[in-house]
Amino acid sequence: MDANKVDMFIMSNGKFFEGHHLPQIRERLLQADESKWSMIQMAQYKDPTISLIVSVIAGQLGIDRFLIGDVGLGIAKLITCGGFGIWWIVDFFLIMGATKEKNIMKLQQVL
Amino acid sequence: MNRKSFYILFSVVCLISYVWLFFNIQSQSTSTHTLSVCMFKNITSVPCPACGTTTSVLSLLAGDFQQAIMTNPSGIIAAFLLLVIPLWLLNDALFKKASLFNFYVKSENFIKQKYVAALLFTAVLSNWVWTIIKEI
Repeated sequence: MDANKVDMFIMSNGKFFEGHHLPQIRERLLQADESKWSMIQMAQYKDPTISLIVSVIAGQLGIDRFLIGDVGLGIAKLITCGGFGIWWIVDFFLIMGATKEKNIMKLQQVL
Repeated sequence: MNRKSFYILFSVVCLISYVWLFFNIQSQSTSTHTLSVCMFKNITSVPCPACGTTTSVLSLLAGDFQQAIMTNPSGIIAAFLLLVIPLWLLNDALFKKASLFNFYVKSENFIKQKYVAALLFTAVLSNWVWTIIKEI
């Protein structure tokens, strides 16, 4: 794929991925076929900041976990009242990383 | 989520649940005062969908099935999971299998289907409304 396009993609979507993954993503995108460009552009990535806000506000009910697609963990969090209030607070620190992890999985599916 | 963090998380949640239950049984016999760890209830004074689960499990332990359902039906599910999951974890640890993790992934995909998710959502929501009306 064209290096210009790849750099543009990384500039505009960099915040959705972990910093240490970006060089790998760039490498993979450069190797990828031109025909996949529209699919990569079209994919909807979850914003880590939004999931952090949701985690603070509605984390007790597991909504943050449902939001990023971890349905099983969402239910676990819901029926234990946010993991007895402990998991709720622990997730403030984990949820951004988890969201970025989900985003990279989504990108890998497209590539 | 990978396999290792899944097993660590579920073991820790099970352990904390049993400690919490033990603590509650202890305090039940010594005093009538119960501690509320539910931040949602403490902040808004409206009960969350899971409020009453401990009371429900405690009445189930006392053999009062009807009282358990009337308090919060999710207590039945919680008690069932608390019985099954530790045994399953032990089984997986002893025989070095990943059957619980595979089951979790399968059931997660099942729940993600549109109609199942809608049904579950309605169930949780109606249970929540019931909880608020009962004023646990």
